[in-house]
Amino acid sequence: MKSQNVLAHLILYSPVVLLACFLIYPVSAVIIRGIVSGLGTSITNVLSSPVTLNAVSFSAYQAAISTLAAVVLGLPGAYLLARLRFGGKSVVRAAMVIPFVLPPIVVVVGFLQMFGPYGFVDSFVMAITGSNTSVVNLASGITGIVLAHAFYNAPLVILMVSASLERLSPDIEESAEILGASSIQKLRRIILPHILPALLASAILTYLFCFTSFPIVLALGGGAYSTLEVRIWIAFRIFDYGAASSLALVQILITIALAFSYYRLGGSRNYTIAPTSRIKQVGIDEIGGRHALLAVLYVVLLLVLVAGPIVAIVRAAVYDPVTEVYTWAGFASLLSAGLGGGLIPLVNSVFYAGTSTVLAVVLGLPLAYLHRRPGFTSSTLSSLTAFLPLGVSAITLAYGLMLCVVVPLGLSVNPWPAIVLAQTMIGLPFSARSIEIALRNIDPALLDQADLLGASRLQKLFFVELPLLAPGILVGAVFAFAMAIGEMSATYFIALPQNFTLTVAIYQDLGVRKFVEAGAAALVLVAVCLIAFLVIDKVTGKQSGGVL
Amino acid sequence: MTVRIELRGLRKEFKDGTHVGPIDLTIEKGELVTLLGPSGSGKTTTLRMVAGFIQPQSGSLTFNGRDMTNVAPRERGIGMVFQSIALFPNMNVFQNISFGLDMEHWDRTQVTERVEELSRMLGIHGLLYRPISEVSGGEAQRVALARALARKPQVLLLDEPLSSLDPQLRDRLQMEIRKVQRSLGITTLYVTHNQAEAFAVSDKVAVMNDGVIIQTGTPEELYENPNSEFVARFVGSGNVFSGVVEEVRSDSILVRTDSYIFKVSGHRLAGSQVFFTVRPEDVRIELAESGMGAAATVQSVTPQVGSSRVVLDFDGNQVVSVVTDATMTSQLRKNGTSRVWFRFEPELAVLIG
Ligand SMILES: Nc1ncnc2c1ncn2[C@@H]1O[C@H](COP(=O)(O)OP(=O)(O)O)[C@@H](O)[C@H]1O
Ligand SMILES: [Mg+2]
Repeated sequence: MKSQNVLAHLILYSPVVLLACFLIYPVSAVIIRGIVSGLGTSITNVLSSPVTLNAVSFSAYQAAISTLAAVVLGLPGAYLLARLRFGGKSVVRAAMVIPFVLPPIVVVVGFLQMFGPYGFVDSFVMAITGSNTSVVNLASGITGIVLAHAFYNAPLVILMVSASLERLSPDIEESAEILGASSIQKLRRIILPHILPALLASAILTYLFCFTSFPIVLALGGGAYSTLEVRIWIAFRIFDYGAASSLALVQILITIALAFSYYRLGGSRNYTIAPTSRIKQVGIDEIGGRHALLAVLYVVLLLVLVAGPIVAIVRAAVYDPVTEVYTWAGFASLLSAGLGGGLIPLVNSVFYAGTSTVLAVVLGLPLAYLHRRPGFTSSTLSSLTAFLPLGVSAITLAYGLMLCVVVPLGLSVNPWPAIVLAQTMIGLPFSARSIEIALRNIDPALLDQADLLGASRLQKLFFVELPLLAPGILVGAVFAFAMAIGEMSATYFIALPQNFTLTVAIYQDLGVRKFVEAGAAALVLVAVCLIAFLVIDKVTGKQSGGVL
Repeated sequence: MTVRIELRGLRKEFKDGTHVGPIDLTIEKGELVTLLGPSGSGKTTTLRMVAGFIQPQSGSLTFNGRDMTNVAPRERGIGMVFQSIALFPNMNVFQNISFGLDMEHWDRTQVTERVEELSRMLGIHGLLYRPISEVSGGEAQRVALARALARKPQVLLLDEPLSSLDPQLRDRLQMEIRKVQRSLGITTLYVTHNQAEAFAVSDKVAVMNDGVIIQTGTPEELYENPNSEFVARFVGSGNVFSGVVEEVRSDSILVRTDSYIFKVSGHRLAGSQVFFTVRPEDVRIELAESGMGAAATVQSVTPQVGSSRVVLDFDGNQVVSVVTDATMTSQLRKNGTSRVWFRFEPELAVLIG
């Protein structure tokens, strides 16, 4: 009995221990070493340097504009999704998850093709104006960065805010109406206060993602713009450990503050009011002409911004803008095993992501159970553990793993385990969360029933709980896989050429203007994400937004 | 100014084909009329047509003769209490009550005065600054009523306002609602599925079933002269007998049921199918066979104030009797599920329809 208890605790807390070993320890080690060793710039110099100030303020500034753009773009969509009655709504809702699981570097490829020079939008404008040189380029500089961030996060805002809007009881709105409130007054006094917690939560999450954004800023910013994460990258590359560590510290403090406020808002978010079944909705045929026109314009805008880049990747895979011809060369290269070929990165991607998915699920299970345990400490510890990877700079983690795992274990010749570890850490929040949601939905009475029938704890776990959890585990695994296979920053940092994954290969290809090769690889990743989406949609029906 | 409400042939058909109406109903100035009917009978739909949240496909709705069809809900001068109470969760009690006044841009001192007045009238003065999450069910109900009354509406609509409360609280609040309604003289349409509640508060009750009003009348009229089996079962005690007229006499008929022939005052054609009802207080139970009563078995004996409610099983139908005799009650309780006989005076039975 006693030894069984010890074992149970050991299993429950093992993810926390592993995270301590492979996340907290390496990251702190890097930071502390960097700051005290005196190698490179000292922390006081870093903190007072205008370059740091610039990076911090640019990070903050672009994140603010991106968040604003995502919110402005997302709000009407949230309203439409919640209030409009139309067929295929659950598919639309599930599809909102696609951008989120797309690797940033793939999005970069899509953006260049959609909004870049000679891309779809540019070609369209060139045709209208009769120009034969590029007219608009929306895929570079701050415009490109903000648009790409909006691409990622507007769907997030839509999902979170529409979920909240659906919980607003129609009786509340009608009460306000009959008490004389006009539409504007109702919006201001009733609807906005109701969705505010969800709106703020989605805005903070968006801000958090944008603040630490790396591949998008690196690739679309063209070196002219740098966020903190980009500066950390540069500092490591020039072996200025002091600067890198100090910057990583600054970034961690900022992201922890943001994550903390998100976590706090999470509490007030579930002040639900109405059962979701009774939503105030109107059919598509019931909206008036002017409103219908606005709605259509909005949907078109959203399609251009969100669906456009994804579709554009198909063209990017077969059209070479350098030679101006359509070609299968990209796919041919994908299957070539030689130097610079795509086969090794492809195999690496699948292998690393697959392994780290298994790890993320194995760790996610006890983490989810830990979260459900009564008592403040275990559940807090679990949420903290699950959310920590989101707040930590991937580059810093990568360097930490190099320092604390690769070098001591003599893996320098082939550091692939460190890549798997990094990808596991990045997938873990998602697997843990979706398993935890599934766990929450198991009817406790069912488990009591199993108890009464005399099932032992192990039997209960294997024959009752795990089958019930299976869909949640599957969704978690799919999410973790998508996150892992899309990971670029940490992987790029750790990988030697033989360890390159598809995302890294895409970045390199873009750098040397091998556009179709990048496009073909990106298309493969899009296909992976679409399959992931289909699985999630199939398994969860319409609840997939919850994992975010 | 009070309002007389008229619903003429009001009808709503939903997309899926279910429909409510045509509804004909008049609510006189200052009157409280209740829509009473089982769940799904169309009460809420009717109420929401009066409020303007549902547009009827046909028929007319007038307030003092003025057509209301194209008047927005907020311009109808209506106060409404929803089944879900629907207080604004992001505001405190004071802000909830004053919401309608703010929409009309009342000035601050007037608002305060009005809220004070209402909160005193409804006994919620002590909790004006509480957040909504901290008021109890009964208090929330009073707040909702105060909020609905704040703008001095001409019409009050209440949709099952007490259905979420426990019975004692419900009894108290229904009396208060009645008192407030009387003192303000406000024309009121009240919705409930609870017969006792309807009878306690109403001037007039309209019994609904399957989307239409079956019978309208005062509680006494409905209780004593139900026009249909449905009304008799729903409004009355449930003592509804059905049978075929066996024989017609000068002032009465003999009705044959499965196992007994009852004598009932009134006239019907021989051979026709009839329903009649007998009030529980008119059903007499006998412990021994006298040849004058129908045989039944005792199902339950429930003590009430000053009497007992005895439920009999008669040919698989329930017959309820109110027994005031204490020795009879204790005898029945002692015997358990035993065989008894019951009868009633022919003139106390009411033929339906
Ligand atoms: N929006 C709607 N669409 C389709 N049917 C509805 C709708 N609202 C109500 N109904 C149907 O109309 C009937 C009357 O409903 P309702 O007025 O809510 O009844 P009550 O309030 O008496 O319980 C029910 O059969 C209900 O299912
Ligand atoms: Mg109803």
